[in-house]
Amino acid sequence: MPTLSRLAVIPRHIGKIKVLVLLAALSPVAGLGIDYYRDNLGFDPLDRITRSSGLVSLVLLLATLTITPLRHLLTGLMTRIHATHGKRLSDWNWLVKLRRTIGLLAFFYAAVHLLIYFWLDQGGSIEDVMLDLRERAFLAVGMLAFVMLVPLALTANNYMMARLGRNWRRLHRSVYLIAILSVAHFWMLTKVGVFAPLPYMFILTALLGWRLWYSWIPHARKMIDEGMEIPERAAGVYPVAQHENINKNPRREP
Amino acid sequence: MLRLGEKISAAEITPEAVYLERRRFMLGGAALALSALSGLGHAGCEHGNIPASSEPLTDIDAATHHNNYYEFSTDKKSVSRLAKDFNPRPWTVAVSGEVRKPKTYDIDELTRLVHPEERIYRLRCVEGWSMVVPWLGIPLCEVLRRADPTGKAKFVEFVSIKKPESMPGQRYASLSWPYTEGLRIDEAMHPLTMLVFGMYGKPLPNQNGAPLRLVVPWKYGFKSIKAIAQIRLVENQPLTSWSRSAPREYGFYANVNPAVAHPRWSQRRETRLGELSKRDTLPFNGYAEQVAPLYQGMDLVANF
Repeated sequence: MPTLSRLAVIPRHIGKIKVLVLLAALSPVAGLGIDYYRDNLGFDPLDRITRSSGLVSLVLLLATLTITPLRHLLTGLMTRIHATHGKRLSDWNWLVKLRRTIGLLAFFYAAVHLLIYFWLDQGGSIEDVMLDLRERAFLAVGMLAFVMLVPLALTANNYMMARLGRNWRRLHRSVYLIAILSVAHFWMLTKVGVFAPLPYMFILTALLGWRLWYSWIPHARKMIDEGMEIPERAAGVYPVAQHENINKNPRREP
Repeated sequence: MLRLGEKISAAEITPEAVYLERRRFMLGGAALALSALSGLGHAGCEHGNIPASSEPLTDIDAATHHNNYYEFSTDKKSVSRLAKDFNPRPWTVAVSGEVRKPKTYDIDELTRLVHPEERIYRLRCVEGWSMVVPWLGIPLCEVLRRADPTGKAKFVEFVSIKKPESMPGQRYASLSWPYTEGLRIDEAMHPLTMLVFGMYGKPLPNQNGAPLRLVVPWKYGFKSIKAIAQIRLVENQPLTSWSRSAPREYGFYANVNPAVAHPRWSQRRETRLGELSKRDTLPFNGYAEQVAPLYQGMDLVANF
């Protein structure tokens, strides 16, 4: 597998990959900006930019939840085909490093989504927003998801990871609930007879379902690395002690 | 009665067929007088005061490519494309039920029943967007009055065409097909209520409800049923498609009312198509002066 072995060099270019991910994820907002200047936002421009920002945020949020299952999938796949590289879970650690970038971008789009609603839809009136929140439950659900996303964005750095220690993981597990709330928000605002949120619901179900399944299989069969971010890994250091740490505190959830 | 927009000439807004038809009426001036007098023993349709609109018209491209028409698609952008091959001819419209003179009209007979009028109305969709459209049609009253409703005719039920082979959206149970709507008889007889077969001076495009649609400007857009095949006068309030599908969200009356909230769309404000900022929604979509008397003493929050 000479071609696949080249994958081994990826971690060395993680900086460039992060930039690529950043550019790719920012392209929707750039596209909207171009459409705005070309007066090409469609017949209901407010609806268009509100929906696009919300949808991109949801896609990026689901992408962060894909990293862990993807690492296991790729490891299994590489083992199956006897590739020279990629048979160890740690070979895919670079994916974990992308997760922070993607997660912060999800937060960025959620913030844009909220600001569009606040400034353009509600004319910047807190009073109107409060009235709106009381009338429409989907707004409250979306708002709750955003509020829960704020501490995750604020702690998405090595300093806070080191500082919060084990609590950092506990805090960041709330992303599962945030994702559920986001998909619920999408369903609740979707009109009768339309099923646009269905694919996102399936993907979220699969991603969370995988985690449930993984936490149920016998511990001995599990690969030692749970895919959670740790300060050392985020900083690009892969200490041997990592395995010992995890064995001391076996955790059931990936 | 014939209202022509200040900004557009008669030639621009009048389709050739209608224009020629109009000439025929005018030439035989007697015919026009006759049509106005043909009360058949009943009171004619009152003309009421049709409000003049000074608002800029919505871009025709927006009004014809941003359509809620579930018979074709639930995606507003796809409707015009999917409706392209729909054939609105031949077409008949049956007027039946609690009437002494039921009749099945050929569409071309119906559109020539009386002198067509152009009226510029606001149309407010329940989804929070709105447009200003020059419609071409006749008052619904003219058709109903000719059918000679009996004393039992308390409501009017409208039924759309069901044609899943050319209406792909009907292959899914997104709503109960055929689409059904209804009005109280006084709402149906109101001079603002129109049967429409043209817009922007052209025949009604398929995606906007060809060959014949209803336009009730003080109600949310879904009341203005498209592709009408049947008009039935009935004694009991008809069950409409949207009320059947989501009774708590879509009432029978569906009068534009900023005071009645919807679980998904704020009804306090609306986006005029093409605009980025919102404007306040007016009670009865701004037609309160004309239609509020219809609902005197009624609780419009309970009867939403």
